[in-house]
This record gives sequence, structure tokens and C-alpha cells, in this order.
Amino acid sequence: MRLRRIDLAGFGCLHDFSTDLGPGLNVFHGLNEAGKSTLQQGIAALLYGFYDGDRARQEESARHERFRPWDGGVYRGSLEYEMDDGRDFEVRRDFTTADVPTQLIDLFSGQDIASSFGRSRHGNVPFARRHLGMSRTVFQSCAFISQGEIFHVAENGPKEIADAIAALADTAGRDVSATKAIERLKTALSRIGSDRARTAELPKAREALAAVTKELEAIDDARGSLSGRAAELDGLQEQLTMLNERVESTEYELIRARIVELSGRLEAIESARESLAKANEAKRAGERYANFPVDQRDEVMSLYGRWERAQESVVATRIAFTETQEAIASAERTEFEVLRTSVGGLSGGQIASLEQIAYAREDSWLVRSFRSVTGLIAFAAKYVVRLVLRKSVPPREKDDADALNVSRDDALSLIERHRRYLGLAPVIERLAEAQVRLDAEDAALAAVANRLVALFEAAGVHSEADIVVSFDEFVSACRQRENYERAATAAAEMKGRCDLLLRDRTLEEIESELQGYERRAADKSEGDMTAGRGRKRGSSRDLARELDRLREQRTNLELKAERLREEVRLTMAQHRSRAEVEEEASYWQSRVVALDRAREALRIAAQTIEEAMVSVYRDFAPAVTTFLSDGIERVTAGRYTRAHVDPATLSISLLLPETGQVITDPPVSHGTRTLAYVLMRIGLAQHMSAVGEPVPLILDDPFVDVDSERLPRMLDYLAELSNRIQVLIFTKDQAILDWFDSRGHDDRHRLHRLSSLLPAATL
Amino acid sequence: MPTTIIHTADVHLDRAFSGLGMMSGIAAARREELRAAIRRLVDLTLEVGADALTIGGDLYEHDRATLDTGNFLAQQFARLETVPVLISPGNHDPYVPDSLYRRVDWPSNVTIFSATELRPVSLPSGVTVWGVAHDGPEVRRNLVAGFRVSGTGPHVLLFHGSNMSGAPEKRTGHAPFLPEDIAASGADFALLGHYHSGRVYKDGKPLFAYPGTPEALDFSEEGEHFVLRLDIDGSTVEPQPVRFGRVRYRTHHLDVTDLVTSDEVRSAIVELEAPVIQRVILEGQLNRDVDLDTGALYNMCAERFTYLDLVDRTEPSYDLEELAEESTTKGAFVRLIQERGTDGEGDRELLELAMRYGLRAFDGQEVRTP
Repeated sequence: MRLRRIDLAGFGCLHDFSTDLGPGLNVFHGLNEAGKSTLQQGIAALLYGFYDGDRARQEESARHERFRPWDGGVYRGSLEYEMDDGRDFEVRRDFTTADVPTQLIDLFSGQDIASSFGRSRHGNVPFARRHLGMSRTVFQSCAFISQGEIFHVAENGPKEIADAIAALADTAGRDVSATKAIERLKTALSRIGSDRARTAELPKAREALAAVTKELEAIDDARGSLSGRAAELDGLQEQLTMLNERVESTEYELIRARIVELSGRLEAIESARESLAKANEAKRAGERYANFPVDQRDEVMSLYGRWERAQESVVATRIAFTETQEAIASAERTEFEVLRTSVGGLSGGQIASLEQIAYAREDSWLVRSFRSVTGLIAFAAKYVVRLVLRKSVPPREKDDADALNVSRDDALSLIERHRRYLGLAPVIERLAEAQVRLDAEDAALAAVANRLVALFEAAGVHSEADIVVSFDEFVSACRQRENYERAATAAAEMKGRCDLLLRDRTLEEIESELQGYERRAADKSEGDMTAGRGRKRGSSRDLARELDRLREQRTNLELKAERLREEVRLTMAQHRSRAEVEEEASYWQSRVVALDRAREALRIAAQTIEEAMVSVYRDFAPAVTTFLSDGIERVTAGRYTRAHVDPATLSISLLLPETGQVITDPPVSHGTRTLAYVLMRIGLAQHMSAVGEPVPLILDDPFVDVDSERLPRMLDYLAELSNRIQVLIFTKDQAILDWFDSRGHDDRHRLHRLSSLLPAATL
Repeated sequence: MPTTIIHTADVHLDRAFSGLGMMSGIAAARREELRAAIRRLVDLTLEVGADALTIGGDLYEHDRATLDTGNFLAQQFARLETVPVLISPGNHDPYVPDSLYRRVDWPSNVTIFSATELRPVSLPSGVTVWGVAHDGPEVRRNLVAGFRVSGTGPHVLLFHGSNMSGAPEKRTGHAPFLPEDIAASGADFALLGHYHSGRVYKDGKPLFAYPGTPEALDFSEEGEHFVLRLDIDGSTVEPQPVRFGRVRYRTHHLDVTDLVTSDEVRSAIVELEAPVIQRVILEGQLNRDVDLDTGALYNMCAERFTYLDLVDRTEPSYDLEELAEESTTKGAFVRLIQERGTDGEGDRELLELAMRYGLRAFDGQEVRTP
């Protein structure tokens, strides 16, 4: 492409500016603020517009506004250009509005062909992209070579040049090369981490996912076992239900049995209480005999027997005595009494003495009689006295001796009378004995009677009437006492029975219990009642045992069920909620997937960039090498020849003809580096056209640091190059002006003086 | 005697919110919102003096259910004292051995239908409610077909099932049925569960109703959520949706094309309705100069919302066609990636991601990965 004419009715500081360009080298000379930069931007704006898409981005609008003429006048321009194949076009743009009406006139046909490029909003008609084979960015980065760019690059050595060229080749930018892009991608990759890494994001996420997945599996396992346990629990529950039914029916049976038993017990208690009442009544009736000395009954009976027998004996003895008494004449009793009184007291010795007297010597009978009579009187007197005092005391020997002073007759009388006495004595003695016996029996009877009376008095049954009455009362009282005892015993027995039946409870309590059972029986459902029907009904004890057994069985089942429930509870309690774990798992899963994809995408990106680099550099390096080799030899006047650009790194190596040495990263001067960079940029700019169209070079005072010796050579080289590629140099450098002036006239090259903003002069 | 029933279904207690990308703490708050719905449901039942509370299945999610949730439900239902609570288990809360329905000591006013055929429960007001249980998560048979109510009415069916009218012929559903099945049953009305959006079906007169979820469960359930109030007077049934849900899900598509700074993106987000569970889908071409760090953006904006879900669907503002024409390495990179996509040799989305990362790296920007 070669620019032929540019018209700017209004663009930034430029008004009604127009100039025709030569097809070769065009020098735009002007001092600062002459509009050099504005013109460059005008060319770019006419070719590419301000906007890249249908939506106006802020920076695009800002750039659009930046070049709006200060005086508010028209804001438009046109550019005529010719393609390498001979086609020529004129682009006309009106920048006044954001819509930027744009025409592309095919100068051959005079037709506006803008729409054939797919017209978009804001004048975004991509004809320049098609005609130049590069985007605005690439065009501005590669076709434009500025002083600032060169200064920055050339300042730091050949390596910087290679990097800058690489950056341009890679991105048409000046800061980021593909290598740096790969570094960024690798940094991101290392942040995500490899499979072997431990601390990067992906391994951490994988680790977290593995942990949470394991937890989820554990929960599911637990839930699986929970299902089994729950089924087991259901089985237990069914058993429990059946057991409960049996317990219920057995309870019902037991209640019925208890009702029967309690009813019977209450009846028995009632009966016992009636008996007790009767016994108590009987007891109360004989209460006064409660302390009657029945224990003396035997003695009384014995005494009474004895008394009766004694009485009979006394009667018999009295009869016998009476008979004996009747058998002895009263005279004889008197005689005997007289004899006993007179001689009865004579002892054997006295009798013997009397017999001696009677039969040994003969005293006068008178004397003897007198002595006998006095003696007998004395004796008899003594005897009577003694008898009165001590009834049966026999005469003492001493007394016998004292009575010996009697006469023979007396002695004979005495002896006779004594003999008579002795003859009467047995009969009299029998009577006396009978009397004694009678007295003794009377005495014994009296003693028995006295004892009985004493006992009767003690028992309180003594009757003044007689012993028999008292005895009858005693016997009767004894019977009463016995009756009392029996009543007391019966009462005690009944009390004991009641107590036994009550079993330390009150009747009310038992009645209450019965009522309770009756209520429970009434409360039992029909089902409960029928459940036990048809079964053999046992005693309450048997039923209670059965109930205990069932209850124990139920308790065991309940315990088992409770254990199972607890197991279930513990099983679930040892885990977090599944939802929570699931959420974590989902989070980490999505994180792993995202990081995995990101890692894969980063790898693809890095790998693809490497492939792209190889591909681009492979084509780019030789093209740049050609420009660099030709140019460096020309500009350095053969000091360096055969420059080479490494297709792998775009680093430069130069051949020193003097030594034949190839210098990689050559320690060349700043000026040489500037030249090398410009040459490479020229090569780059041409290479960047996707359609092979020669791209006009727009150099913005790039040779400030090139020495005066090399500058003309460089300009000469560019003038020669401009046979193939149009070159536009914007400068304020007098040396370039001088160089231009020093060259002879050539229609292909033109000098445009911007200071006066006049139409271009022709050399 | 007029009867009032409050009906709900598909509460999905103990649900996992993993699909929304919520971390546990945030999801736990969502689960608590569902519990709060149960508390308010009981309040509402008491407030209107309803004769019964009915639940048409999916009260909780069996696979995730905790005993704590079971005890919570028992505790809440006990507040209703003598008001019957009738539950027909669904496919998410089937009546299986280890279900909460069998593991929890329910108060005496709670009836859980456990049979796989419809069984009656008579309310004191005279209405008979016929319920049936799903006995597993995959009940694919019609629970109503051939069923006919018996006894004196009114009769109300309560089950969890899929109305298949209008559904494609080959499509199957959980406990599928047709409106004709309900009409043929002789029931006056059917209270259902399964579909998460509320709807009342009429065939001349109201026939059956889905109350929908009482609280929205995800972004597909934006809008109002209801419980159903059913008034029955003789043969007249009047279903009325009662506004109930408090949780709001909102989705906003934010076109970032015209935004030139990340702060503009932030401002656009914080101006959205709050507090709601907000999903913001960032769309459009992201200006190359906008450093969109979604993590940082989330941290700056999340506090304002109940929950913020940021979805980055922006496209880089590259003219790939133009780039592909470049002779630069970057252009070659774009071409190579595009060729791979065209050849079908790679995962298209992965290649797009690689393209995005590569171009970002070429722009000298930090390559942000998830």
C-alpha cells in the first residue's frame, strides 16, 4: 500500500490540510507542535477509524474526542491510497458524530464499496485490515516506529531488541511477548499445582474432596446399616406389639382373677368380722368372769369332795358314837366316871402297893378305911382337877406313890373298885375313842369347810347359805370363765383371720383395690377382653407369674429395641448432616473440576502459544534476517555483515568480517543498536501483513541517536527500500532535511514541511 | 359444619443446597429458613383455627434427614395440640423402615399414612381425608386409579403424585395420575404434593391443587410461594392460595460490555434488590482493561445479600476473527485454537477457556483461575 494523498478538513490542530505523497520516501518536517503526531493519527484514523466494534468503548470515544478540532469546526478527512496490485481507493470519513459516516471509493469505478466490507456502527469498516492484512493494533505497533520506542529498546542492548521484536512479533505489543505470556500461564499453572504437588490449590482441593467423599461414603454406609437396623427394630416392634397384646390380655385375666379373689376375700373378711363380733359379744358377756380363779377349781373340787366325804364320815362316826353311847348304860358311864375319878388314876405301882397293903397286915378296918377314904378323896380330887385342866393326862407315878397311905380295906376297896374300873374301862374307852374320832372328823370337816369358805370368799362366790350353794356358784362361775375363755379365743381367732385376710391393709383399701380392678376391667377394650378368651384361665398367682414373665420378656425386648435405637442414634450422631457434607463435597468437586479444567486449559494455552511461536518465528526470523543483513551491512559500511536472527529466540547474531567471528548478543554501539532495531522493525512490519501487502512505514524521528555518518547511509537505505515500501519519516531533524536537500530531484520522494502547513513541496 | 384445612407439601427439610454452590454455613441458613417455614405454618394453622393441617409429601429429604429435624417436626406439630396433622409421605420422604416417620415419637395428633393404598381418617368436622404413602423413592404406579371413596362425605384425597395430563406420552412420573382418576374416585377434592409451583386444577369446579413449595428452594423457583387453604362446606370446596414464602430468589443478568472498571460492575451489583438470594450472571464482552476478579467482587458485594451467586459468563472483548488474521504469535495462537475447535479434536469449552487464558496472558494480565 502506498498513500497518495491525504486531506484533513479538520482533525485536531490540523485544518484544511492536504498533501500528496510520493510513492517512495516522504519526509514530514516540522518543529514541535507542528502537527506531526496529529497527522500520523489522522492517517491511522482514516484507515482504521476510532472504533473496533459496534459498541463504543470509553477509550475509543475518548480518542475520538481528543482529535475533535479545537475550534469546533468540521471534523473529517480523506485518504487516497494505492494497493500493490494497482487498485486505488479513497477513504472519506466524517468524524463529527459518533456514527462516523465512512465511504470507501473505488477510484477506478468511483463506487463507494464500504458496505462490501460489512459496515458496522461508528464507521467500523474493516477495509484497511483487509487491504493491509493487519489490524489497527498491529498496524500501529508495527508500521509506526517512534523515537521513544527506539530509545527505550536500544538503550538496553541487543537482548532487549530481541525481546522487543519478539513482543511485537508475538502480540504486536511492546510489553508482552509470547514467552512472558507462557510464563504467566505457567505461574497460574503452578498456583493450581501438579498432581504431585502438595500445597497448591488443586492437590488441596483433591485432598479435601477425597476426605469429604470418604465422609460421605461413611455416612452412606451408616445409613445402609441404619436401614437394616431400622428393619430389625420394626421386627422387634411387631414382637412388642404382640407381646403387649398378650400382656394386656393377661393383665385382664389377672384383673378378673383378682376381682374374684378379692371378692371372696372380702366375703371371708365379712364372715370373719361377723364371727368376731359374736365372739366379742360373748366375751363381753363373760367379761366379769375374766379373772375368775378357775385355776383353783381343782382344789375346790378336791376340797369339796373331801368335804362331802368328811361330812359323810362325820355322820357315820356320829351314828357309831351314838350307837356306842347308847350301848353303855348311863349308870355305868357315871360309875365309870366315878371309878375313873377315884381309881382310874392309880398306877400299877400304886395298885401293887394297895395289894400289898390289903394282903400283908391287918390294920383296924377303921383306920384302914379312913386312910383309904381320905386317900381316895385326895386322889380323886387331884385327878378331876387334872382332867379338867389336861383332860387325858394319866396320873403320874409320883402321884401314885403319894396315894399309898391307905388302909387295907381301902386298899381292898380300891383294888376292887379298880378292878371294876378296869372292867368298865374298855367300853368307856371305846366311847371315848369314838368321841375322839368324832371330834377329829368334825375338826377335819371344819378345816376343809374353812378352806373352801376361804376359797369361795376369794373367788367371790361365798354364800352365807352354805357350802353347797357356794360350791354351785363356784362351779357355775368356772363355766362362765370357760365360756369367756372360749369367746376370747374365738375372738382372737377371728381377729387373726381378719388380719390374715386383710394382710396389713384396711378393708377400705381392699375394697378400693377391688373397685380399682373393676374399673380397670371395665376400661379394658373389647379386644383385650376377647384376646384372652378361650384360653385356660389360671389362678391369679399363675397369671401374675405369667404376667411377670411376659413383662420381663417385654422389658428385654424393649431394652433390645432401645439399644438398637441408641445404636441408630449413635450411628447418625457420629456423622455430620449428609446435606452439609454433600454441599462440601459438591463444592470441592466443582472446585476440582474447575481447577482441573483450568489447568488443562492453561496447558493447552501454553502449549499452543509455544507451537504458535515456533510457527511464527520460523517464518518471521528469515524475513527479518534479510532486512537486517542487508541493512546492517549497508548502514555500517560493511563493519557487520550477515546478521542472523535465531528463529527460536529472535536473538541477533552478527558476523564480523574482520575476524570472521559471529557475535551473539553483540556489544555494538547505541547507534548500531538503533539501526538494527529499525531494520528489524521494517522487516517485522512487512512480515506482519497477512496478505503480503507492503505496509507503509511511518517513522517518527527515529534516528536522533544515529551519528551523522550513519544517518545518511540509513536514509539512503530507506530511500532505496522505498522502492518496495513507502516510507514516511516525521522529523524535526535538520540533518534529515539536509540529507533530503542533498539528494537530487526524484519524484518518488517528497518533503512535506509542516511548520507552514503548506502543500508539500516537490523536490 | 364448614371445615378449613391448611395444606402444604414439598418443604424439603434437610435439603442440600449443593447445586447452588453454597458452602455449608450458608446452606445451613437456607435449611433454617425451611424450618422457620414449618414454625410459621403451625402459627398459621392456629391463627386461622384450621380443622387440620395436611402435608402432601416431601416434607423432608430422607437421605439427608436428621433425627433432630424429626424431633423438631414432632415438637412443632405438638403445638397444634388436638388439631390433626395428616401426612402422606412422598418420594423424597418415603415411608421406609428407617424413615423419620417411624423413628420419631410423634404426638397423638399426627397421623402418618403408611399404607400403600388410600386409607381414611375422619376429621371431627365430618370430612374424611384419604391418604396414602410412597413406600420407596421410586413409586411409579398410579395411587388413585380404580379407587372409590366410601362412607359419608365430604371426601378429600391427600397424596404425592404427578399429574400427567399434558405430559408427553412416554414420560413417566412419580405416582402418575390423570385428573380423571381423581374425578372417578368420587372425592370432592385432592390435596397434592410434588410440583414445586402452586396450581389449582378445575374441571368446572375445583378438582385438585398443588400448593407448591412453601419456600423457594432454588433459582428456578423465583416468585411468590404459597400454602393452600381449603374451605369445605358441604359439597362446596374452595381452595385459596395463601401468600407464605419469605425467601426470595432473584436472577439478574448484568451486561458488562459498557462497563469500563470493576467498580462499575460492583456498583451495578450492589444496586440490586436486597436482601434476597441473588444470582448475578455477568454477561457481555468484558472490557480488556477491566480487571474482573470475581472472588474480590463477591467479597465486596456478598454482605448485602442473603446469598450472592456470581456467575461469570462474560466473553473477552476480543475480535477473534481479526486476531486470527494477525501474523503475530498471538494470531497464530488464536488460529491454532480455533482449528482445534473446528477439527472437533478438543473440548470446545476447554478450548475457549484456553483461548481466554492465552489471550489474557498475551495482554500481560494476570491469568485468573477459579
